[in-house]
Amino acid sequence: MSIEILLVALTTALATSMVGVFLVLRKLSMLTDAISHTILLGIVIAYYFVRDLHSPVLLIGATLMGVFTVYLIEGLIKVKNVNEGAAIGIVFTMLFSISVIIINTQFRNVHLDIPMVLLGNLEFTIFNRTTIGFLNLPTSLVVMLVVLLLNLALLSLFYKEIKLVSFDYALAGVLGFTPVILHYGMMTMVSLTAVAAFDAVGAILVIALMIGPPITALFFTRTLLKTLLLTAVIAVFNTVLGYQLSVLLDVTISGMIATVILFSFMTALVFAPDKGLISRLITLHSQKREVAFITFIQHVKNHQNTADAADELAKATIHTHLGWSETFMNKLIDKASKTGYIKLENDVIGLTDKGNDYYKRLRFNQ
Amino acid sequence: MLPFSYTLIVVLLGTVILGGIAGMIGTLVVFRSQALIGDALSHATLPGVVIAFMLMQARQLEVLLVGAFISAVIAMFLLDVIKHHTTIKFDASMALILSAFFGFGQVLLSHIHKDGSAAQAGLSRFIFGQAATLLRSDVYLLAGVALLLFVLLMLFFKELKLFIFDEPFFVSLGFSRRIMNALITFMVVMIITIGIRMVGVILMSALLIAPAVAARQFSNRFGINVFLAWLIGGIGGAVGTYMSAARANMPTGPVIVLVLGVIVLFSVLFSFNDGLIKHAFLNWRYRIQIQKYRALIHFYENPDKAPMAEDDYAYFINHDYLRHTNGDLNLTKKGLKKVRLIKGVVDNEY
Repeated sequence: MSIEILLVALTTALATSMVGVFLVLRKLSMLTDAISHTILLGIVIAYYFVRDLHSPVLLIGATLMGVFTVYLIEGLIKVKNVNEGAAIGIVFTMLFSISVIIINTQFRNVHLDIPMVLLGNLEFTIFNRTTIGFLNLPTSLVVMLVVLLLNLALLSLFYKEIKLVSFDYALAGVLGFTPVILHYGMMTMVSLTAVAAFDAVGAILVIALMIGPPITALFFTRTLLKTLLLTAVIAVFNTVLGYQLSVLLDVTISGMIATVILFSFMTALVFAPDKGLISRLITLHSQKREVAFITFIQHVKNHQNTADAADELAKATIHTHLGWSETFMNKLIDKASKTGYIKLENDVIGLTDKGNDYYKRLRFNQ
Repeated sequence: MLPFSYTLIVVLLGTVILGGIAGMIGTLVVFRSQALIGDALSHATLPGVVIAFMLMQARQLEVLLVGAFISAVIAMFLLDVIKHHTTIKFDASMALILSAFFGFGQVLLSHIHKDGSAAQAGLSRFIFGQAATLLRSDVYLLAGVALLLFVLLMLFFKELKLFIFDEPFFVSLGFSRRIMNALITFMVVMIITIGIRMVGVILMSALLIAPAVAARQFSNRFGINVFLAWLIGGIGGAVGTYMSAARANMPTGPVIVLVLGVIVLFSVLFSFNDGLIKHAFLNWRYRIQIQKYRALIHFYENPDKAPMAEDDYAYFINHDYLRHTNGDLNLTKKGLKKVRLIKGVVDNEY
């Protein structure tokens, strides 16, 4: 049933993007990259003990390995001369290598498919089913729903603390909140969410689901609550659109959702009010015009009633003194005449009383 | 002992050359605090590879590499735009580009292979690389690229060094920031595209980062770091390849990364500069000294106060750290030197 696939995708997108908001705010985005890859080692080690691919112990092992990864990375950062990115890059590639080697040498005959873990398969999630009461649901849907509800519950319970740690880690410590515990609690949730999600979308696309919607939302909002709400809306929009497109084009669903995430991010990047590229260009342009206008008025004020005024302030030659093109200069002169700041006498520019007032306001910032 | 077969020698040559040059280029990105850029860009090459395959209908390495190169350059351009024109943190944009480009590549791949397993096989090669199937022609290509990158690195060594350590000063001298960025991006993207064929997307970043971090533990000089990273990368490639060939079912890429990881671990522990072992030893010695010379330090800190029991000082008087002069107990030069050494006070009286 296709509606079930969509539901799995939606719960996954919501659960991941909620924890993603805090990862982005705390500048830990690339930790998801590390965690989502080292999950594999957790699964391998857990499998070594239980020898059952469907055991929930595998998920616990994977989650713990995610937290352990964060711990290792932080340990390595404390070493002198190792910066954050380098520590992440070394730890996760090494743990990932260990898991690939173990799988290749010990579990060759087991169906522990590495590409499957990395890439996931949304289309197949509906074949693995669980019955709860009279409901027969895909296991992934049940797991994702539980994780989503857990995330939301913890978020609403510890909203204040999480907010504090996200924006001012040091202050949280000063106020007696033990930020380390909150930090590792948060990392456990990130790890658990990534573990639950990789089954459906794979370890690599989990990153897009976690990070994409929050950084898109941050183009539009400035408060945490609004960011969370908008993130949820964007996550749902991306998922539904990605799902529809993938059905239409007959391509992989999770990949298409990731593509749509990139697309909606790019749209926000270009068109967002205030923070978008276009709006920034417009702001830059108008600021340039404003500075030019002020410079022009200042120039007139400086040379008014001096010996060289006839040359410096003549309408025909003034642009050479300011180093601007003639058309640009004329635009400014038009603007200044319209506002009544300047007057023309024998083609020589001078400030009016109103212009003088304007200059004084500028000068003394009154 | 494993006999050096023709195949093994070809693969060894390939991994040693790749490891060495990746280590050198990696030093640049690690010093710029952009270590994970390799990870982001290597994932971002997937759509380019698939599009090159779709357009040219060819599986030749060169064709796919051109696609990968273009794709990575586009990703780098996007990262640059986001970095300079928005308030989004660089790591967040890297995470998104990495993952979303990869997802787009998967979409394209599922479009050309309606049959899922073929798409999976192609992806699997891309993710893990295939060092074991390296051909002689691949090694020639690799050697050519490595030589080009080496020459570029040597030609612009002075400029790169200045750019990395003091960018504002570099720009103030009239050099172009943009050209330098382009040069570094070019070198990184080149090494990534060529390396993916051998060790795959995920482990490529380790080849860039690990040698640089290991080298960093031993020297504070840029040139020596580059040289050491080259050496460590080459050794890692050689040892890893040999170990993976010596046992059945050992994948080459992961073993190389593991060897590099062990080298990093050893460097971090045993470096003479800032190694953890050295720090632990210094701490231990400090503690011992404090215990032994506690009374002497107390005397140095509080010379006017009533002394501790005379017995406490007996040892120091015997060993000429303290001396009775005119009936008062005073620190000798030797004693003063000792206390200052322990306390880390800068000695400027001698």
